[in-house]
Amino acid sequence: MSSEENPLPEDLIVEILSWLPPETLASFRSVSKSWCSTISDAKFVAKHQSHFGNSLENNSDRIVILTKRHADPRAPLKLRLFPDSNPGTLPEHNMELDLEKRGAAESCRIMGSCDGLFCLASSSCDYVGIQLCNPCVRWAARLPVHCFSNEFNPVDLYYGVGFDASVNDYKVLKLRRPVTSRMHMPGAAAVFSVKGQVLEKTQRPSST
Amino acid sequence: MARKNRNPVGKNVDPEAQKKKTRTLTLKSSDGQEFSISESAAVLSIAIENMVEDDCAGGVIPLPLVDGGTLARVITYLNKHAEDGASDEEKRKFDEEFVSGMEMGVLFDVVLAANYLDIRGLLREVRRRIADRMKNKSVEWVRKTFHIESDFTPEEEEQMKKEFAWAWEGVDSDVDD
Repeated sequence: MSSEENPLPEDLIVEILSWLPPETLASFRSVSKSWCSTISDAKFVAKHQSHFGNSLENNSDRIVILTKRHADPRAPLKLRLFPDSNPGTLPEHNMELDLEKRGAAESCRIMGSCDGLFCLASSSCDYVGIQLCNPCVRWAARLPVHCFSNEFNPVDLYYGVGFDASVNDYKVLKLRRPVTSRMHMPGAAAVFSVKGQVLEKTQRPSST
Repeated sequence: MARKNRNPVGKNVDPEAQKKKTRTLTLKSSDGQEFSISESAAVLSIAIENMVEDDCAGGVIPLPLVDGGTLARVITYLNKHAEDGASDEEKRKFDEEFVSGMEMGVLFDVVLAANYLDIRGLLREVRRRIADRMKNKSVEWVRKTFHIESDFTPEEEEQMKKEFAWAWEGVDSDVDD
């Protein structure tokens, strides 16, 4: 049964890879283009989280994540990983996030997480883009910048992140709450997909 | 009452299970070797169970995708797991020893056979073992083991290495264990 070409079919390889630790996976992305796209695939990320993340010996290695604010507001935002079992033993790998706009780091916070994927966004600046990142495998994606209006006034924004199995992609919901003192700003919602688009945008007058 | 209905024979031995133990099947490998195995052990493979149920197992079951050496290993596994009175602990220990001495190529053959024959426990065990052996291995080791040729340009590869420099810390030397 051994053959020189592809000793295992792809579905078996995917299954095996989903049991590997994130460090190993990150380096295996440079094995080939097809391995790279497999490991970066949203469905694989979810599978890996449920296999490796829940396997017995890794049970205690839940990750705590912190954003680090720098004195310089233009400094990149940093994420740090800690296992909750014994934080002292983990080499602290920082992950620097290059946020597009100046001062964006200042107002960015973790707005939600799903399968080890974190959503970073601003709760008050409409023009700050949304970042998604998986600190385990040092993966980050910047979603297209989308503004509900052209105003630069502070707004009240909410976010949620989830996995949509039907299209095999992560999606982020961005909501603007109607501000009662500013009746001209209606509530609004937009959905982003990780593969890079604003999917839909709905606006409603604040009275509803 | 409900319990009684579910198990009408009560404490008596199920005659069907007893029959399976005594009935033997013959499995034929791709290279023409024939192996006898009790039906109760053979049906731990869902694929074989389906063949037996559909009654297309007239005497000899041909397995054209499994060679003799691999089939002999798989049968050893099936026999142990069908053994009367083998405790879970005993089976777990057996599984551990069963895969521990296998080279990567043999693990590949066994995982393919377990996949084809749909033997869930064996598939899980071998898959896990392959993943264990891949931990902390270099990219070059993976390419060699899985017969993969890099389709990245040297520049792209250099860029990735830079980007994930931290992931290369603590990579083992390429020894086949």
